[in-house]
Amino acid sequence: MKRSKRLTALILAAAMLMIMGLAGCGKKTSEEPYTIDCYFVTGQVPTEGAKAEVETEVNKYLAEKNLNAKLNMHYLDWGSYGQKINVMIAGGEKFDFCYAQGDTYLSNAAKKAYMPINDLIDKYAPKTKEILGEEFLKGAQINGVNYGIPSNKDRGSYPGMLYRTDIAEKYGLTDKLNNVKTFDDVIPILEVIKEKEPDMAPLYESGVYSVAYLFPFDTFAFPAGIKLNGDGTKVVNYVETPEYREASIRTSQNLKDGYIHKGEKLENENHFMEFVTLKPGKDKEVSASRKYEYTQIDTMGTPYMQSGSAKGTNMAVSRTCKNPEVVMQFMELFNTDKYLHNLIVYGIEGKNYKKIDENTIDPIKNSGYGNAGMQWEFGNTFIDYLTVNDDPDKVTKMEEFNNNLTESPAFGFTFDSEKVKIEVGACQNVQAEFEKILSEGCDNPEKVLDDYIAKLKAAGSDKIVAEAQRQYDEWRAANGK
Amino acid sequence: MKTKEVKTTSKNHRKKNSLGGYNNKAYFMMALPGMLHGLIFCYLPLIGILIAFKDIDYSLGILKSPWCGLRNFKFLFSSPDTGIIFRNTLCYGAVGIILGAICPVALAVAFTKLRSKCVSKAYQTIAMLPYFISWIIVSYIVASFFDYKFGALNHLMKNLGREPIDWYSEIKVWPFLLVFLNLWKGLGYNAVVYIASIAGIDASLYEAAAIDGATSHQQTWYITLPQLSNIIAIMLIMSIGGLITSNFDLFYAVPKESGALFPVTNVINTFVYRSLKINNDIGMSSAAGLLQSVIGFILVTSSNFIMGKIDEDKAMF
Repeated sequence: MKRSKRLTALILAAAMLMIMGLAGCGKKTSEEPYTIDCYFVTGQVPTEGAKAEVETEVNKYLAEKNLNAKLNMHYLDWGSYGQKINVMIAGGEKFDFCYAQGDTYLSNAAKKAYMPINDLIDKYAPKTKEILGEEFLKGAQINGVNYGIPSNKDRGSYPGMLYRTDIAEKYGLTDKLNNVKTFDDVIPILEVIKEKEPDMAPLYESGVYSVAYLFPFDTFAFPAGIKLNGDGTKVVNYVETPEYREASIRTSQNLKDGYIHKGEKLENENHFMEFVTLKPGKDKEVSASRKYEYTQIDTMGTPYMQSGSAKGTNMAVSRTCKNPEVVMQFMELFNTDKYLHNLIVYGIEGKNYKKIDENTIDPIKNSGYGNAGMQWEFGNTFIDYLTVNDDPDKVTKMEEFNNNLTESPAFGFTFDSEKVKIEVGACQNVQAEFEKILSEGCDNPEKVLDDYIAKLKAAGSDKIVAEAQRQYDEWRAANGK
Repeated sequence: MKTKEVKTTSKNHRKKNSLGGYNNKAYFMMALPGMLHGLIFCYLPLIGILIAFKDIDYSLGILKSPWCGLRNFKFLFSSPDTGIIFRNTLCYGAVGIILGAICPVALAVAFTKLRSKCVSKAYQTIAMLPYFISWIIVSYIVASFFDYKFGALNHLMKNLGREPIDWYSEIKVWPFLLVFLNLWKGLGYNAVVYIASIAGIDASLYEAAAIDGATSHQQTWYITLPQLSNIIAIMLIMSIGGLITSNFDLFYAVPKESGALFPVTNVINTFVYRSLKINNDIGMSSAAGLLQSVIGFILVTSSNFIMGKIDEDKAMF
């Protein structure tokens, strides 16, 4: 008896839930604002409370602008971002747009994880298109399709070096350093440091960047790419270039000469110089996160806009997005409306940042929200407020930099690795085995390099180069280059 | 009233129910969460095996994506490293299984021989500790010994007036080190099963043996080990299934991605990870996983079959 009563109660409760659920569904009409789910990567995940406050402000503003949408931001830290997004994509989960970085963007686009938005850009985001420029948007295309909106920021980069400002001043090396053109010019300076500061490593070698890094090369798929100092028609194997050989030998010589201290750690900051990818203001960015002040050397490389430059940072629209029209309208507003843009980037005035003047702010530490240092991720960085640490002329300098970039002959070309994916995978294993040894310096670089090349060949590097050449030739013919 | 009911049920514990089976509702309820877990997390995902044979296109979904035959498996066999990665995987696996069958048993016997219960428990706890340390942390502990510039070993070398050694490119050291670390980390934990089984051995056997004049050593050899042989066999069969799946963290994190060590540290799992890290191809990674599972399955069933041939009691199923 008792049992049957309980059962009835359970059934009734279940029925109630269902009715409530149905009622809930019934209420949803076309008037309900569309929830835009977007995913960003960040170094410091905002607190739920602070994020909710920002979202409330954003939604209020969207309502004011008659955009029938609600923003639901999801922040993930660097460690979990890639995996989480890939799982969501593989699982077909609903989201509207996400930050997508170069390689992941290409591989997911090839698997049709994103939505083609060429027409939508024309229709709903004409101002954004104007800001980015026809050509840059075209450069962001994969086989003629735009899957996302690239960030509007520094559009190229160049190889160079950083040096410790205080040490350079101490020994009067600043003028010399600012005029170096090649690595050979750097050697006498390293010699001075070696002699005067015996405990300090004159040159730091991270295992990623080395002398080889100064050689301008546009990689399509490791190891295939084109030399930027050549005529740009021939695809070559990066590792087989004489420049790479020379650089590898030089690195090992640096180790032998005592410029590189084996096993030195970056976080100890016990070194004088290092290699980096440069853009205007890079040294300020680096110094902010370190103990000492560093200065960049701009004279060692030409700023290039590489084949992948326009595809590096995107807000990619997911194929699971239910209402791309509204999402594109939001993107247009986000990229052109200074208030909305800065609200999403820095948070709420007074709560997350203090306003210093019309265009400068000071982020409040530990306020729970704020993306200072990550502005590059968020669309049009030209309408960002400047922070107190920024160069006041940042925007004009960035514009000037972008206008003076040299375009790689392959700018806009995307290599489709589908046909050679087995070889690409095998070559990546070989790269992981040898590259670090060569870029850290070793006893017999020529022998190691020969082994490296031989093993790459066995892994199918020639096939990748040939396929890249075929696709590149086709692309050049189609684009009249 | 109630107590009476309980009594009757316990008396008629194995009363047949209407379906003709035994009434084991309580046991079934206890097993249910585990069975559901198995169903949801182990059997339902089996549909995903399809991915290994498909050229995945997210817009079409798993079922509608085009088939591509065995193409996804090819990358495992067409690399210049194929021989090395299979050799490493199998050798480390085999050594791990053999040592994993001997050492924990020895440790368990040693623990139970200790007269003081208190000391025995303390040792057990200490031996368990490494199991709970993450491999990433282990990799830093290893680095604190082997780092070129800041490691303890090279400091020692310098103080002894010898040249420092770059341990992370010293191929000869690593096979031993990796085997040792793997053993050290799982030893205490794996011994627990044997300690529990030893505790379950009938004490009268030892008493009888002691009266007959058997030494402690003989008791171990003629009572403890034969009594343990069934559980050892089961553990062995289960671990053989893992022969071809090596511990990714151990081989990836601990050698710190040192290229010079690849000939002795590259195993199937790390190879797959490095190949697909950029491509991010779920078809190829599923293929690798499926291959490992199938080989593991064959190994388990065949070793079980062989065990059954040797001694029927030692087979698991």
